[in-house]
Amino acid sequence: MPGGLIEIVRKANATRRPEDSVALRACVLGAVMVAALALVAERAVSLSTAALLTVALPLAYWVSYRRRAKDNWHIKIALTVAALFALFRFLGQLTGVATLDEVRFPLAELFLWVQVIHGFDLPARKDLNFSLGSSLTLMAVAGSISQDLRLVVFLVPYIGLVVASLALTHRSEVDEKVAAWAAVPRPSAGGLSRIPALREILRAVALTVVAGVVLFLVIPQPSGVRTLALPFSVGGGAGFFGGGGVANPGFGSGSPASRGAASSYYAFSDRMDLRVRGDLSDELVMRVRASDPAMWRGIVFETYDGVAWVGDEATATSLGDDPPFPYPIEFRSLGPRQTVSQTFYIEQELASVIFAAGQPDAVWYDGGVRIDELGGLRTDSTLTPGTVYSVVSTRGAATDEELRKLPHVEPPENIARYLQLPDDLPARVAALARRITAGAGTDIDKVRAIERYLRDNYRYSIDSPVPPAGQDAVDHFLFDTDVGFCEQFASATAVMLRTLGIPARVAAGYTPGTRNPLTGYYEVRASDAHSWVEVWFPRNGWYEFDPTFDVPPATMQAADLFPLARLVRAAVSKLGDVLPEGLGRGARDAIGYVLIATILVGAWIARRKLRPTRKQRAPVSVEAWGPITRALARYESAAAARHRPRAPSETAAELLRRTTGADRDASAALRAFERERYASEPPSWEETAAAVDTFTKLRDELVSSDRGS
Amino acid sequence: MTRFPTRRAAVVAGAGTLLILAGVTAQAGWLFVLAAGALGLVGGSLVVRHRLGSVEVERAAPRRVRVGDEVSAGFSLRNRSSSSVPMFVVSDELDAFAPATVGCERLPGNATAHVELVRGALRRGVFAEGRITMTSGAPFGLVRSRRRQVVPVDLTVVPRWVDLRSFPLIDPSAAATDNPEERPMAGAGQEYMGIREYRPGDPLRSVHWRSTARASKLIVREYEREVSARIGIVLAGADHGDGPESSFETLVSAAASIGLHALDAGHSIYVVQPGRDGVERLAEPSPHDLLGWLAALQPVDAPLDAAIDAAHDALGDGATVIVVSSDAGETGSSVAAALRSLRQRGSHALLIVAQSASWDKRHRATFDDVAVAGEHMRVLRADRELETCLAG
Repeated sequence: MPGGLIEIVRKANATRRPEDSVALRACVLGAVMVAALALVAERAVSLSTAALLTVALPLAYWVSYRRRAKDNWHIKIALTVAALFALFRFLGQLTGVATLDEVRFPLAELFLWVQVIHGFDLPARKDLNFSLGSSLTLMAVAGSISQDLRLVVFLVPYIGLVVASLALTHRSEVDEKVAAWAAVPRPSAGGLSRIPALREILRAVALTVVAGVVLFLVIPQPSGVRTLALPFSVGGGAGFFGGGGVANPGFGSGSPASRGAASSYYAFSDRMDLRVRGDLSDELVMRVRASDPAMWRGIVFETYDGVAWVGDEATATSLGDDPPFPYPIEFRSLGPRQTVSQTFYIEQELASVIFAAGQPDAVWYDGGVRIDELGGLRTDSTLTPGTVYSVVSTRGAATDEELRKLPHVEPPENIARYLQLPDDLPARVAALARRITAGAGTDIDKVRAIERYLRDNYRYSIDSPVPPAGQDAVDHFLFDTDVGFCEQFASATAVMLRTLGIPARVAAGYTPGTRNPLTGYYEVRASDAHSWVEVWFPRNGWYEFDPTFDVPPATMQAADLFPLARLVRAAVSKLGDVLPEGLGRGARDAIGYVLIATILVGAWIARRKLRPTRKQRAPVSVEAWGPITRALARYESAAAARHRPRAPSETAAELLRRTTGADRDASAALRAFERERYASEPPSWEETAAAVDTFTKLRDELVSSDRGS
Repeated sequence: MTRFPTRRAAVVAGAGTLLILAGVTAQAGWLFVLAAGALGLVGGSLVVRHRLGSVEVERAAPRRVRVGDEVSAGFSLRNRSSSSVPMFVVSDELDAFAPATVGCERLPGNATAHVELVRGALRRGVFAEGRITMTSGAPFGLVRSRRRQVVPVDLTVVPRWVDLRSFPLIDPSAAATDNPEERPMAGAGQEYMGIREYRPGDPLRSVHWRSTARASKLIVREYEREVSARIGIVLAGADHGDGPESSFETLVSAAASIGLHALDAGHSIYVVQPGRDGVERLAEPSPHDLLGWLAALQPVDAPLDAAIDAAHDALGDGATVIVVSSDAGETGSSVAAALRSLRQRGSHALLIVAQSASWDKRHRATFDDVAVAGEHMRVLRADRELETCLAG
């Protein structure tokens, strides 16, 4: 019975048609190796595993090539055992995994080992195809981990090897199918042109690249909401201990004068002083993988004292011991909400706060998380580079129309604190607010009216004048300077809304940053630090408004979805820069779009007009002629280079007589040339070969005689 | 010319789509790059031109072959355009031969490629054209172009025959007959008849010396004179079984073998096949004409009456008629009557009958009056060699 079973296994695994192409095997191995190395570069597998793989994979492919025609049933049994061992090892590794997200790494290692194990049994073409397909999985895992452009180093050779593998696979398929190959005349030229299919493959690769780029530009890139397998891990090095408050690594003593890095924003503390000025660098501070762009809020400020906003200075309370940390119910807003999932990858040391979109409902952070009285989240120590944390947030999703339907009600006690104003706030601020919102009936209309007013009457400048001592900073911005940056715009909006009885507060954090279409991450730089306004609406809670740029704060736009839209937008922006500022942004953008459309349409029309019709086309290029004509053309070029060019009226025969001497008889080659060019019946293959040979010899003689002389 | 994506293209496009979904789920931009690459491969392949329309195919094959013969047959592939044609495959579906596929690497502009194959002639017939299918999936096998073309050919595949040493009714000494023309006569044949007195003119080598000594006068051996007889072959029946050894093909081979043997023996033959709309006939053919005529025959299940009448009209009373027939269908059911009719008219009849059930068990014989044929019957069976069957 066991003998019978072995026989059944043997028959079932017999190789029906072994693949003999070494080139195909080499290309598939190359693709798998490159994909494996990409995983190594992304640190998905350890270096020791990588070293083992670089030996094991070629060995496996060599063994499978050597034994491609055998049934290999005993190898298959050994491989089954090895696969089970790899699976058990993977299951063992799972016990050490802290988060579901980390499963990706042992899974990547398992994929790799399966590739190696499978590599020992690749007798047929379909097995190699399967291996090639599996390498795509490895590459996809590397791509899902990669945060930067380093993957290009692996992607380019990988695509090249895949393309070569596909071409060789097709060649192998055809080879298997045909009983014989036709004898095709070979070009006499040397080099790569001897490989018959090379030109077609290169042409197809070029078309593939063009099609790939076009598709990449137009394929929408939405991001799904992830609520499972969200990663979090602590970064390298010890952070600054916050002691329950906010620790800002750039301002060790907490004073603006103690700024230690151009990437530090002073407002990431419990106080935002409107008199502080300073540039922020373009240094990358974090990458964010998010389902939607959002304002990454870190700090909320409640009290305005005339020159600064102050947050909660008291010690924050802990949210619990283990992630996910839930957002307390008393801080949660109601009404229509939109979920945003985010994972933050910290690149520079940042303040000890949790940056997150809107209302952070659940936080995965490898450490203690505390909440202050205003709902801001703080960590025990500063966020160090390498720290990863995830947040699932919600943010208000009611439209202006829906907010407009809300009645104005007295805010509850816990919200009334956001109506606070300094006692000495000049009355003209409130008067201005009333004047601006005179025609606005609802809270949302009042917010929009103030935004419009600021957009139309104030300029943005990071170097705005500092308010003199004793003058209210908002009053100074509104009535004296007309110039400010985000803090002034946000403060003026919040203060004016408070004078109207609408609860408002100032938030500090980062804008979404720029989405890198290749990695999918939002790249947030230090200069993306920003402050904006949050306004409370009855039964709906806090909504964000950004009066500085008068744009809806961080909503998904076409440029986030389509890389092509991003390209167009960048071009429009560049064009807009050369137009006078007085035109306004909308007008400049419109002119930019019109200009781009005009250029594209003009180019299309020009192409149509300039392209010769079939009748007008220039004579067919030498390349398009037959091999004899091309050989004669090479002879002509050689003669011309030796000061014996062919005269316009000279026939080929006359040229040969003049340049080769009367003793050379090239009449047969010339007859073949004339038949190739002008006769309906082309010369035979033998005649073609002989003629090409004659012209090539004549050329060689011409060149060698020139060298001799 | 048709153009369609292959299953591999569907797999690659499916992988690209899955990568997009994974990119959305994992919020990973690189997956969109990989997806664009995968979909770009398919998209790029859709744009690649295979230019099969510019390829002209010409056949090279002998004009006349016999079923079962291996012959050299090939193609010339000429690119009429100045642009090259990427790798393609030519499948020849000419019924005369087993299907054959040849490949052609990149064919440069205005170039001609040649290919030659040794192919076995499978099917009897007269072939004026055959379909060629050109396919190209270059360079990745993701999108395939196909062009079907009917290419003219002048090919006759004649039936297989066996060389018979002897055959009843055709060999002159085989049967006694009242017909003076068919009675053995002294002559210069090969068959020994007896001895007689010497007549002037007899060759000396025919003298029988022992009898001469005994009779004291010159006695010579007398040989049978070979006479030229009129032989009719009536061929009919439907086809059963598959391929070159089907029942009708075996009947045609039998008719060819008998006909060639008769011609070889110096007889004139008359071949008839009943049809739905009359009879097909061939009178006094040469071996070449006989084989050519038989090459074009198609199986017909029709009663034999008309064909028997036609043979009788052409040959007259007392001729030899060989009925080569299937034992099934309308043909089979008319065999007994045909044999009786022949005998009534004084003809000598021999029946070669194909046992249809041996080719296909579903068929039942409609000819079961074996006694009518008597000893002048040969049975063809699928599982026996034709030569053996004809030898009886």
